Amino acid sequence: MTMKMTRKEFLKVAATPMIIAPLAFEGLSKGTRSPVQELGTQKAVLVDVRRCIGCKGCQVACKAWNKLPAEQTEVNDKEYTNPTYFSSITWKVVHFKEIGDYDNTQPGTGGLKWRMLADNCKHCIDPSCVSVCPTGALWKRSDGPVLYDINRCIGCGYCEMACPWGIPHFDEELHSIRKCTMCFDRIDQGLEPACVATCPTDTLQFMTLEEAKRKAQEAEAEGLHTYGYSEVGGTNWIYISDVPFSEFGLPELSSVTHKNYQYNLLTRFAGVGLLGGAALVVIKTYADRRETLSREGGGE
Amino acid sequence: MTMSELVWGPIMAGYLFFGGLAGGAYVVSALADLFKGEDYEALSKSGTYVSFFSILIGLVLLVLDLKRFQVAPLGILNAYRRFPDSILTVGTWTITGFIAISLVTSILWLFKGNALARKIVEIVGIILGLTTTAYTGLLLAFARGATFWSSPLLPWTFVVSGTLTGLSITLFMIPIFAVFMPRIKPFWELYNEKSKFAEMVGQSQKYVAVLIVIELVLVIIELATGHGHVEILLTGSILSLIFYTYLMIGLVAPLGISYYTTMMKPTKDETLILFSMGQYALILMGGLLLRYVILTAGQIFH
Repeated sequence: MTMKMTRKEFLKVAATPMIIAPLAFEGLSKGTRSPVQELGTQKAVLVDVRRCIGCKGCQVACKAWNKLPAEQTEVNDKEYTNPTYFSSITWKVVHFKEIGDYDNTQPGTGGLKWRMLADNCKHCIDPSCVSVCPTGALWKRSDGPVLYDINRCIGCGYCEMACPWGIPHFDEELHSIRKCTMCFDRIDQGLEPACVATCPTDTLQFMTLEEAKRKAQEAEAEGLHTYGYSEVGGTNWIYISDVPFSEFGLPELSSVTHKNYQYNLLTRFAGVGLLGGAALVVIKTYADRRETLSREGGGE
Repeated sequence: MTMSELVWGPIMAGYLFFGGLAGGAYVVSALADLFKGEDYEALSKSGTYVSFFSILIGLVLLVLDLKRFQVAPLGILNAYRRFPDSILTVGTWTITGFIAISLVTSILWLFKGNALARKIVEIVGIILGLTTTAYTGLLLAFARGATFWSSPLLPWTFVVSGTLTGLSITLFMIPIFAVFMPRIKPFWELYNEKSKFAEMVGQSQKYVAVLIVIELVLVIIELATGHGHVEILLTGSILSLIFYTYLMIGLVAPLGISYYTTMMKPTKDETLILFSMGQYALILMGGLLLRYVILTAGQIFH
């Protein structure tokens, strides 16, 4: 049996996707943004590594507040850090590090330091993940948190590659990228992030970015190390420590923001192209000249 | 990150390979049409058709690699929104434009369209083709988390490799078009007249050799000025084995064939064609391995 279709019917069928697609496109792009876009001054968390006792309360609080399930981890025989990596359901990792040498001939005078660092998304001021995201699924809220929209993520994985700390991870069940949200839902209710509220030693302190920067500046003046104060143009999660942050495996990063990083790379890319192009022209001219001379020489 | 936990795996390497190859094939074919004219019609046509199908293959691979595509296929349309803020969005627009241009050029060739119109389209296409090829490298270079990729030479390596693989597939496909689609002119006519095809292949050898040498120089400079992770490519891993395979079959062996065909000048046309076809196949395999090695190395040291 064959079905006959009039031209009008055919146009109706053919036009349907053309009408639906833009509507769905608009729905995907506009209907799912976070409720709060504009807030006042930027918030920050200051982490004083010297105060941390490694209770992992922040790690547990993060899991509890964000309803993140536990995951199978492996015991690391070199240290107590567990889990040792970020995932879509592990947003906070507490690094345990023995730093320096213990001199057992002089108890108490050895250089050994036992330090812990609660690590998570740094909520960069100019985040790489936001900068590279093609769909706007990741964005920086004006009061500090770097947030994501699960409905807008397409799962390209570019944010995972762009983040200098490898923070965002794709959640196979949620079909979206996930990461620390700085507990924006708590901030909106005038509360501190869950990890900060749980910390028993005030290692984690919630304050304005301005205040955190001032404290970091004072710490630097005292000869302490800071992280996040200038790295990648500054972050909303700033660390103070008496040992270098490379001890915790944090990468050494310049103060260049991601936008400038891209711009510099593009400039150098163009420069290499110009130099390479000029070199090729010189080589070609030289080769042509030699060929002409040898031909003239052969002719004589 | 281990090789089993890669965010971007072989499918992504395939996308980068076909994207680069498509851009390179188009640039080569358009330049041949603009500057060499009718003598190179077969090459121009072959490159144009190949570029269109290659970019489509690349696009399919890209879509397959999107982890949310099966759940929300229309979400991909959002990738057009952040122009020019995200390099990926710039790439999405560039590839879309390039697909349109390569399709239009293919139609103009296939249906003997206006030559002037075709040449105008080709000028735009050269820009888009080069941008597409460069984009495959810039995409990686802009990922700040992977220091291994953070080099202005990387996009140029991909541009040169894209042009080399583009030229290779363009010439490689001429006999295939001739045999399987003899009605599409002038593939069969050219292939049937062995001496003419051999001459074209022979002339291309110097370009192939120059491109191989440039790619080799770029790879060596990148290794020498790398970010401390070069050892992975040089010692004791599966990746180093793949890297050496790339060097051997993608660069050294094809360069040897170029030397043989250019300096020793085989007397029989068939010998020259056979060696050149083998060379093109090796270059294509090398191009794919290069993408895979670079993509994987960058993520292992993420």
